[in-house]
Amino acid sequence: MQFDILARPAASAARITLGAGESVTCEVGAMIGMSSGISVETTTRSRGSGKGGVLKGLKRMFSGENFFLNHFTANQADETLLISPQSLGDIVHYTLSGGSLIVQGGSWLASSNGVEVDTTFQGLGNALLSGEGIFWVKCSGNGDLLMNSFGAVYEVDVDGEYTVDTGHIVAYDDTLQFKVGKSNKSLLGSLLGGEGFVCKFSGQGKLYCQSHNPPSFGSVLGPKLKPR
Amino acid sequence: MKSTNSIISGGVFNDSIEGGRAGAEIGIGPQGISAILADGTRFDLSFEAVELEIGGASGKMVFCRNEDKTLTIFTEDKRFIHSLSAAGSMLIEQKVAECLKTNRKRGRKSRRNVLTGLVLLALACWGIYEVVLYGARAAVNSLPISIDQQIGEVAMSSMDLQGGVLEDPVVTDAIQSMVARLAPHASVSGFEFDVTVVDADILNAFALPGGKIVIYTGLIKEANRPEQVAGVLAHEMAHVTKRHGLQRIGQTLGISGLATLLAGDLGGLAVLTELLAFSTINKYSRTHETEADLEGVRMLVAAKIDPSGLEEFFEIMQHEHGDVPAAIAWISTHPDHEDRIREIQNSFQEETTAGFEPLHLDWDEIVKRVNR
Repeated sequence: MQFDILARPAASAARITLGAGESVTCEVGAMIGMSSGISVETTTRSRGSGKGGVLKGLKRMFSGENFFLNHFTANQADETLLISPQSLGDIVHYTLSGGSLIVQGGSWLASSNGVEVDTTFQGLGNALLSGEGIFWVKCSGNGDLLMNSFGAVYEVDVDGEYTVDTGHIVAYDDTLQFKVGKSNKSLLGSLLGGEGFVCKFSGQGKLYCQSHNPPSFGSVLGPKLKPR
Repeated sequence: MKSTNSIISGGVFNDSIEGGRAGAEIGIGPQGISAILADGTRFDLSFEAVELEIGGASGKMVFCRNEDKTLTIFTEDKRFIHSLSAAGSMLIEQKVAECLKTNRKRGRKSRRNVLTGLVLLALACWGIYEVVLYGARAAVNSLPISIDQQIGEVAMSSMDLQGGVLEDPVVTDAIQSMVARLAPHASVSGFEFDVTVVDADILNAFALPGGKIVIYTGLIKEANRPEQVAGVLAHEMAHVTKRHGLQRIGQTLGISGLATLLAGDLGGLAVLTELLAFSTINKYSRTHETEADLEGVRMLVAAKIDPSGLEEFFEIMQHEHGDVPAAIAWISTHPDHEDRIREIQNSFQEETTAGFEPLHLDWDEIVKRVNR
């Protein structure tokens, strides 16, 4: 299985080249096009482990993903599949080797068979104030994973502490944890500075951030749109 | 000295590994912790050198580091910390105990912070609610009544009334006569009350800013005596004189404005602001309903109309539709009927000395006409 990310970073799409019998699971509605030797199956279960079902599908919906999953399987070698996320932005390829990656709800795009996709809760404070969804997607196992961001994505190697503005997290290693806090030492300064709350990461591992966040973009664009 | 041979899944951070991180099988020996990668590479940490920490996304991951932090062995396996404690080394047992103590302390602090945060949040919500409530009321009261009338006319012309306008003068004159008796007792003068009777089987009536009131024949049919309809009309007229329609517009705009002012970047607060707006707007609406009930009773008493008609009407509503379950009452836009009946009873018990004059209307004839 080979992954090529095209047209980075503003309107990225991923080209996945599959070997005979290889399979990839994608977000519903992500497919742009595919070669003729690929068959598609829609289920609520993960392909590799066969785990899941209605309950897992419902859990995925709570994290901002879809109830169903699309599985694309190549019937012969060198079949290609083109996919893209719903919103504009970048795609990042990540290789899981035994650990877990905590992905922002809505940023999981595709994964290979060995990756288990589940839902996780990161605490009440983080759910209410992080600017992300209440539930997160937890990807674990061994295999390839594609995530999408709003705007460009940048990778940070955290070793100690690192601060990200709310709404800018794409994913982070399970070896990291974050807490929502004030951006400034004083609460008033935090609020008047326009940054409000921020996510303070600690630990060791990789963190993926996005250059833009949909609510801020929406608040800039919204007033300029004509009422329907 | 006891040795533990259990193999546990985890990982290693070290610069010699490609990408800096790899999965590993972790073992606990009599002298230290070992991690073996899939390619056979082995990393060791002695109990003397190891520093322990609990963290990670789950808050349950155990990190074992050397002094200069160049090697970290980690795992989320629940057996690891217990196996480590039982490895037979007094030194590591002490380190595990200290690590668990620090973690418990941090957990307590974190829970305390969340609790404090929630209390502060509740206080901020209450503060916003109070500021918006009084701010919107003061702002609306400073505006001329002509604005209410203009908004009411625009709303009426663009509204689907869900039925045709009833032209029967016997019915419309009777309703208008109730309004005429109540109007001189409105707390604010200058409003022109204009009632439209709509022929539809709907048990409802509503008022628009400025004085336009719509009453459905479904409501007239259900009433046993004219005082019950007069009670509903007085309630709707009170919404007009208290200018609740304009206050609601001001309050809806005020919530998002104030939240932006207080929280700066709203990007991170989408979930919270939605929840706040939803519950506050509905709480605000319930306050208006109770206020309109009480002002309606005041107007009825002043017009010498028996206010128990309004109470009876809520009893009919309760009988027809039941009550909102107490558990979800906070998201409802109306207070429950039992509460409203109690409030009305309390308000006019003090007024029973006033001599009420009946509405001289042939109610059976009016009901017969709306039933045609």
